[in-house]
Amino acid sequence: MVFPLLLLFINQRTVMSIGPILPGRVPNSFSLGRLNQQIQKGQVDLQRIQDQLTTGQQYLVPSEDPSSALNTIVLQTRLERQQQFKANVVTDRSLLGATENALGSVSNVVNSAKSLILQGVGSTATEAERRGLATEVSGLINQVLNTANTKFRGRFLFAGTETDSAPFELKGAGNVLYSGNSQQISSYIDSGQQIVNNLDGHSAFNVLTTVESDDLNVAVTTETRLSKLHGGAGLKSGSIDIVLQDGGTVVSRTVDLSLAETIGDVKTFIEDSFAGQALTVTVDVDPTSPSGIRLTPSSGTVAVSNVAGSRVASDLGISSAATTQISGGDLNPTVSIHTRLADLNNGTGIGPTAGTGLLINVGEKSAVVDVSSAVTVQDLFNEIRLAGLDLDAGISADGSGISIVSRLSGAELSIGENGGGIATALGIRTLTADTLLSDLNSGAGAQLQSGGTLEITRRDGSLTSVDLSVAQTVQDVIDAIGSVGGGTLTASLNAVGNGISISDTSGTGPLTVTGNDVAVALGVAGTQTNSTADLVGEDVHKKKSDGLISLLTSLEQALRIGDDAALSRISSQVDAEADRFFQTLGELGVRAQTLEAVENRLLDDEILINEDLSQQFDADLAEVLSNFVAQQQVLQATYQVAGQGFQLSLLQFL
Amino acid sequence: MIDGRDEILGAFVDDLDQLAGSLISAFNRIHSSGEGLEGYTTITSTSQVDDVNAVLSNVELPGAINHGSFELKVTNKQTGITHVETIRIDLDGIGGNDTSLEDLRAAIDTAANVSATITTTGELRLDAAPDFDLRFADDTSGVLAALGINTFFTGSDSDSIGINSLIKVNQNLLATGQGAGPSDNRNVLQLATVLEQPLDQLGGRGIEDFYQNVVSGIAQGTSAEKAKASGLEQFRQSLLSQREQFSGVSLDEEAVRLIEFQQAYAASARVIRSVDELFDILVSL
Repeated sequence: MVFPLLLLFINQRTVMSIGPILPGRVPNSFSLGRLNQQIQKGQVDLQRIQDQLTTGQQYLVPSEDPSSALNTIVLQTRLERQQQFKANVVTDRSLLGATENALGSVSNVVNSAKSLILQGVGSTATEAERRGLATEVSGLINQVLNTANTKFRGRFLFAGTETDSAPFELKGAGNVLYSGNSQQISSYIDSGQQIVNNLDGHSAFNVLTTVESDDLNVAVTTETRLSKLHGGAGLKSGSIDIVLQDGGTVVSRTVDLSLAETIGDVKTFIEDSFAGQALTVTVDVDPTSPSGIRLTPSSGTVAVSNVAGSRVASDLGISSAATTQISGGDLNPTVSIHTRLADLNNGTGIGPTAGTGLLINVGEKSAVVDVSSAVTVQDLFNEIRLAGLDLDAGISADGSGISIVSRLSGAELSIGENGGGIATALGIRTLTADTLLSDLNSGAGAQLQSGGTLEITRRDGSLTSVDLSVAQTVQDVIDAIGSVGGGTLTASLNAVGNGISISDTSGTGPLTVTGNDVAVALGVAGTQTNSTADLVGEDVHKKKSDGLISLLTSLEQALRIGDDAALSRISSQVDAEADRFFQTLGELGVRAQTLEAVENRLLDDEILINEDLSQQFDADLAEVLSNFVAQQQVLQATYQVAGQGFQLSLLQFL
Repeated sequence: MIDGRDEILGAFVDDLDQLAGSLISAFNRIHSSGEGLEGYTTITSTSQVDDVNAVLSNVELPGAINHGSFELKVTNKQTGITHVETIRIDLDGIGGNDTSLEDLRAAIDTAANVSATITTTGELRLDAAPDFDLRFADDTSGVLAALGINTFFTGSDSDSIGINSLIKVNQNLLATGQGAGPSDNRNVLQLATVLEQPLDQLGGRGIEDFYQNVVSGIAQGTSAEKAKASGLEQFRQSLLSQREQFSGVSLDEEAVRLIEFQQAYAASARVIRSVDELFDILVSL
């Protein structure tokens, strides 16, 4: 640049400027040239103003006003995005509005169901009347199903993200199959702000029956991902300081673990940074308690500390003062689909799988899921999905265990053993020793009241009473039975399926449990005449969806047979489900309100942005017009001066 | 002017290439970890690798590859059952076992119901067994984006940018979701943020930021060049004026000189006439 400072002062809008006149001669060609320049400049300026007038813009290319142009680009981008957000909000509102409308008709169904129960309960209703009520209930079921399969804007509203096919299907015997999923569909309604614009079928109608395991205590292995540690919270990558010392020999290293993705990577990086040194370190997972990592120096001691400002060593559980071996703390990894079954339960696995399996019942159907070829959790899930029972399986919500889901609403789900211990090891057995007696028969059948006595007629003909007045869990019942028979009477959980089995070696006669309320509630009432076989109890803890569709199905049956006890139980279940349902509706309402607030804010913002944009980019017409007039006058004056001035010549006077 | 063109336009083309390159690699990185309505029955990488035994991080590819892994989902279309295989990309530079294209091929090939081959032109080709299809997820290494597997854009700069022909032919391969049905839009939600994400290759700036910088850079450069041109023009004009003032022809000046010469001529004529008259008188004496 030649005259940088001087150039900055030149008005950028002046395309051509007029130079100074030196004292001395003013030849004609000089005057004509100058006039030419002046006219050109006037025309260029006029053209610019004309452009501003016709386009309404202050400039046509950014270089005419760089800073303002940059602002304009930013504002225009924001405006475009804002308009897309607005379109999203409108779509979201219509989707949520349709969802709310649909659910509004379901809330009518809930109220109708309540009044039908009141009409049907007790002796006031005749059998014919009750049958009429039952027919009405089946009408309600159809109404709910129609609502649940509502299609709006080309998508099934209650199907999760499987929106291309009807999510609910009546499968006979009052069972309804839900084939949607529980995924949410989100859209951006502002930068960084998303809103969910659907309500999946399970959230709306509570149709899935889920069995969830407790914490399965996954063992740490070299394959464990760092992101799965600490209950899925993971850890922030970074560096750690390690010092190895043996007498006077000290080797210290800062190990960068930022590239590490798995525990195996941590091992590789740490071991490699000491490779070939006087002292080395071995990193592994302690096989006796595989919950953390272990550092063993070749000799002497090892110390690990955090690099200042980082917590990586602590998060890996290996931060320690100098010691002969560091046994890291519990890293608590979550279950992933790649977790090997053998690494569950702190590395003890799930026991022998050959010839056993899971015995799963869904309604009338049952299947044995053979897991002998399953290596990882995903293999197990795939075996369960392939069982043909409309089951799905996944990692539980908190990541610590697994969950088995039945899609068939109205059918009872039970998961039991098939001669082994797999269901228990996986934490998905539906009736276990820890099951509370008060939870038994929650769906139907006799309820176990506290207190009560089990009357057992032994194989030797004697009568034994088992006092269950203090029993709380199934284990308490098993213990109570075992404690009264002098060693020959024992109870256990069924080896196949679910229930309580009673064994008696006191004689060879029949073994009978008297069918009182307690025995019926525990599912053990009956007689076993085969002296070498146990008295095998029934499954009294089947899981069933508490959803509206399932409840209406039970209600219809209860009305048809006039089961008052069932009716009053269903009544309270309908109340509970109604509470949950109205809460869901309320939550939808909150979302609709959020959308309205966001829409208003977007509109306000848009006005502000437009205003800003207009100031930066739009031409001020009044100013431009007055400039236009002024410039026209300048040009006219130039022409006039030219016309008149150049008539003047000495030659005319000769 | 020519300097200005080279500086501004040359730099602009570089910036544009960088912008396009970052957009391609950032977009592909997200896209390659998602899945569309359909899986691939066969897919060939869009990038080529000359030395299949070279460690992947040393190979010239559009997009960086780092130590990490991705998941290969092999779905049985009859039963709907999916088997997920984790493929590790070892680029820690330790143990001499870092992954090359050949290692990657071998690792994928061991998975059930999928075969991996390297074409004669150095592309990685995956084929699903009949009735199976392939999908990809959770690529932490960037290898899929770099090789051009399950990507949206092809090319590496503003000159070569294009849309993957597989997606152009079959829009169901556009990775909108992450494996949960037709309305799953989780991957698209991630793609929506691609313009704002800070990127290492743009010095921690987002693509949108970078674009604004580029535009304002050009605008300022052009504006400065314009001012420079206008200044130089003015300088030239003033020199021209000066020359014109010295060398230009002024009609009035010439007219004055004309009169001067006319008068001189008239005066000379008068002298000649006087001499002539004198001569006449002398002769007639």
